[in-house]
Amino acid sequence: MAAGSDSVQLDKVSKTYDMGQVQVRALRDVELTIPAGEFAVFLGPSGSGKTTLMNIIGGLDSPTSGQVIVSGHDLTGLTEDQLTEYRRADVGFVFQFYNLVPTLTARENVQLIADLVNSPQDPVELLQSVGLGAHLEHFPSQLSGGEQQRVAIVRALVKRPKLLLADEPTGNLDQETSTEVLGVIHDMARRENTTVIMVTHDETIARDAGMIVRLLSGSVASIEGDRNSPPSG
Amino acid sequence: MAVSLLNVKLLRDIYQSRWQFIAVIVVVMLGISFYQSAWMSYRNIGASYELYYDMLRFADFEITLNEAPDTIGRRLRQVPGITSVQPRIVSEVELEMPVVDAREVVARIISLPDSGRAAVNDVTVLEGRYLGPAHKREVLVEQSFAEHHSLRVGDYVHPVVDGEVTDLRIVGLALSPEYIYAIQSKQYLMPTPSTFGAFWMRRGQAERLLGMSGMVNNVCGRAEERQRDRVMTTAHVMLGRYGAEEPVPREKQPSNYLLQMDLAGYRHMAVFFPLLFLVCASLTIYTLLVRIVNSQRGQIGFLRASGMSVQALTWHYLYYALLCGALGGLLGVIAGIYMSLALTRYYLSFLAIPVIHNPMHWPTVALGLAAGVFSCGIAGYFSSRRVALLDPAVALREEVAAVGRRPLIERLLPVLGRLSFYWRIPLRNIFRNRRRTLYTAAGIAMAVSLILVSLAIRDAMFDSIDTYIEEIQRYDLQAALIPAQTASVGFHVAQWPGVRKAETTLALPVELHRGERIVNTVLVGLEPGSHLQTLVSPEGRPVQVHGSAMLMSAANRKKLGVETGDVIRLAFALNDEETNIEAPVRVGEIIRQPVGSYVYLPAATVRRIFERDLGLPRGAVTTLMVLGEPDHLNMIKEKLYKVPNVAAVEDARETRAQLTEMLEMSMGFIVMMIMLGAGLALAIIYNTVSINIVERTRELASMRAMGMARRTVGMLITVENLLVGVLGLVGGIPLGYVLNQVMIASWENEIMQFQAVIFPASYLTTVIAIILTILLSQIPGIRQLNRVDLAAATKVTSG
Ligand SMILES: Nc1ncnc2c1ncn2[C@@H]1O[C@H](COP(=O)(O)OP(=O)(O)OP(=O)(O)O)[C@@H](O)[C@H]1O
Ligand SMILES: [Mg+2]
Repeated sequence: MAAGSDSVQLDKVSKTYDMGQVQVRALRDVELTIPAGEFAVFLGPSGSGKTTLMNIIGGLDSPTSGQVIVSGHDLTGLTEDQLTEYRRADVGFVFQFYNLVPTLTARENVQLIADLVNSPQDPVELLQSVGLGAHLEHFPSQLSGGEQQRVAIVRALVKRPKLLLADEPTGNLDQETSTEVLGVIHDMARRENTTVIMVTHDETIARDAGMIVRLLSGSVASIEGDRNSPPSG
Repeated sequence: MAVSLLNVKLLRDIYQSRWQFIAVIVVVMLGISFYQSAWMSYRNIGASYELYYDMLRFADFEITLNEAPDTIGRRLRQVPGITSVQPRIVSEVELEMPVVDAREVVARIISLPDSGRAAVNDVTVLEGRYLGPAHKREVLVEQSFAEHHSLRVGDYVHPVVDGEVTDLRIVGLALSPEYIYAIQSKQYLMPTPSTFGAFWMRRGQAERLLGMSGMVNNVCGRAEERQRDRVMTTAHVMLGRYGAEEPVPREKQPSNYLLQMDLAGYRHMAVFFPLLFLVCASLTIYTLLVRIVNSQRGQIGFLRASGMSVQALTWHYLYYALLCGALGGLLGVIAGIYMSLALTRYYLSFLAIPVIHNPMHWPTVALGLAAGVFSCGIAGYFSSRRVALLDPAVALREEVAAVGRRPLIERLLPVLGRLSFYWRIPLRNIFRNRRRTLYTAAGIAMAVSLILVSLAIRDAMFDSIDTYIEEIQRYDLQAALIPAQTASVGFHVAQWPGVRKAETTLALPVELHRGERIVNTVLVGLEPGSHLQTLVSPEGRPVQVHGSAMLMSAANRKKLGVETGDVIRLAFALNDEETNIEAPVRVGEIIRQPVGSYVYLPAATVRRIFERDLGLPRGAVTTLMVLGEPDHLNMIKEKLYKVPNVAAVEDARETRAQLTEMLEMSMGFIVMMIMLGAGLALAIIYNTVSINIVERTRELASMRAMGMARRTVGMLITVENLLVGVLGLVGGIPLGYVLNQVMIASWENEIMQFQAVIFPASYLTTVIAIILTILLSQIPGIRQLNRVDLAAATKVTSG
């Protein structure tokens, strides 16, 4: 597949947090293209701008300068409502803190998000496919960390998003569970041909990725395993 | 899906914090039920008076005459606009009573028609039966007089007419719209059942008793509402040749006037307090919701990241508030209706009014519901706005931002750092989450002020009575002298055994004029340095009469619209063609007058103005005040009655009892208010304290997980809550103080003037009540914490 309409393109994206006296430059002129269906990993030390970059791609945050083009649409000019619409239709998020609603069961947590779109996947089927068939009616406090994170992943994917953004989804999990959770992400993304962007500190996780973007102090330090050449400029 | 999952979440969230939710509903319920019951009973008491007035054809006006043939009734009925007329005999006679102190008891004889019932001002027989034929020597007695003197149906009373004693048999105890408060005349501000009673008999009987065959001396009538004033004027002119006095319209009829005043005071309470309660309810919900929204920041962030709209989420949190408002409002309205019934009954039975009119007043109900929903809606709006203001990118970054930092206070006061662990940890917690501390303390402060203000109303009432009896009217007995005597009567009585002091004053009925404004009152001429009648400033400082400065209360000054130094016109109230006494006087400083509205000048000044024109003896006095040994008082009283020209003796003990009884009528309302205030305080404190624990379940559970004993954690929570409680008290007491000032300042009553005072006992009660409430409120939270599954509580990271 070419770097066509479903790709993520970042053009000179910078982000500066104005803290009054100090200005924090979280991102500096980031140039990046992630093809549709790619499994990309953002690697980098703490504070290097991974979450900031991911949030900008997901329409949660906007760049101070530069352009973000997802599926051929420029995010930078969108209104708050249009961004909400974009996140609803196109993006699925997974965070390190699962952020499940504690008073809803596993199935209901997924259903709550599925109800936001017109043709979601079947929450129950999806939960069964990640091995949670026996835990459908359990509340988050009755699930293990790995199980909660699997619910969170299912919840992100139930909308059939074009883009799955996962910020350290295995940050709280042990090695074995991490592998399991990552497997789930891989499988499900492949099934729906979802573009995945995952943030992590963990080099071993990166090994399975199709594309590794290393960030350092807000700049792209290197891009590995890139089957498409970066745009010239 | 039929039911949106957000609503499922709403219900489950509510279930999870059900006790807080219930507490908020209770707060709203109390506020609304207060409004509902107070306002509805205010209306229904008024409506019941009206119903009773209508049933018994209470007069729209009354005219007192010298003497007129009873044919005037027929003539008056011709006046257009008049609907009914009742000519009658109204005369006061002495009543011989078998009582020790031999004081004079006045019986007002009122005639009722020989056949049929009175066209105007009929009576209700509460016990016994109505009057038989006119030739029978039967009488009906006003019920409060009968009760005071233990008179029963079948007993005899003995009026004395022209020195002759007659026997009349009591056939019934009665109530009339004219004597719901059995007040002798407008000069008396309260019923005096010990010395005054109303009696009804057939006209023929009254004519024989009083020697007024075919004659009447009083006429009362009813008129079409819009024509009443014209009817009154016409009737007055028509009856001019029979010595008609100024007609008295219904609003000025003494009993009705007092009832309406009571009602007005009630109305004030019915607005002020519910408003206060609703503001509290609103703030409580606001705090609860802000805390719920804050604790769900992560979830909200995620849902917004997933594309859920701000509106959907805002509504989600607004529903909490609206649900509280609707449920609390509904329950409050229902509870309020029942409470208003009880209150109305209490009042009416206090006055022995045999009817009750309790219509459902839908606008009040609707307003109650609307007030519930509105007060919560406002709170909900401001708290759920935080959802919109929340930046999901920021919310999603934080886990639980608990930065361990030495609080500023510890850095400023290093001593605190060396405190024991039991103090240091709670202190740190208080300063670490200042917003939470502030919310909790604010909730407690509100509760404090509510309890304090409720208690302070009672204080104000008792303070007024105490100040009046103990600081202003210090005499034990006061005799009225008619006609005026010389001061020697004082010197004479001072020599009696058991008399510690005897002093005199010169009191005269006067009118004060300032432009169009007139105040009718009594002018008291005080001897300088008087001990038995002293005056105090509003601050409690003694004030002396001096020169020609007239001392009066703030209420009188307000009525006249005058300040210190202004000049007003003083006129004798009984001025007529022969006497016309007037003098300009200057307004002196303000004095405090808890009861009544008398004005004061030095006796010498009063004599200078009035002595010559009224033909008073030199050094004239009209009252004699006596301070006696407690065990001699009854004897002195008896002896006073035997002094020539003593017309009446007032006993301070009885005055106190009468004032207290009058206040007791308001007690039903005050007790209700104190109870509601306490209930509200309990709910607010429970809410803030328990949510404080719930909010930190994870933190507290992890303390236990780290090996801290249950008791230790409980101890830490207790110390922390008590510290916040102290903060709440520190804020709430001044708040209560100020609220009390505002409330008392706007509370008008013509008989009694209140000052904002709070007795130390009330402060103490408040502090103890608050501390107990705090301790009780945390019990469920701590117990829940002890039962909590440590593993589960520390695991869920979603907040
Ligand atoms: N809202 C904000 N205001 C100010 N500075 C911010 C804000 N958010 C992030 N930053 C700063 O921007 C920089 C990049 O932050 P970011 O969260 O993207 O790093 P990260 O690579 O995700 O780090 P980690 O691996 O620790 O999650 C950091 O220096 C951070 O302090
Ligand atoms: Mg990060």
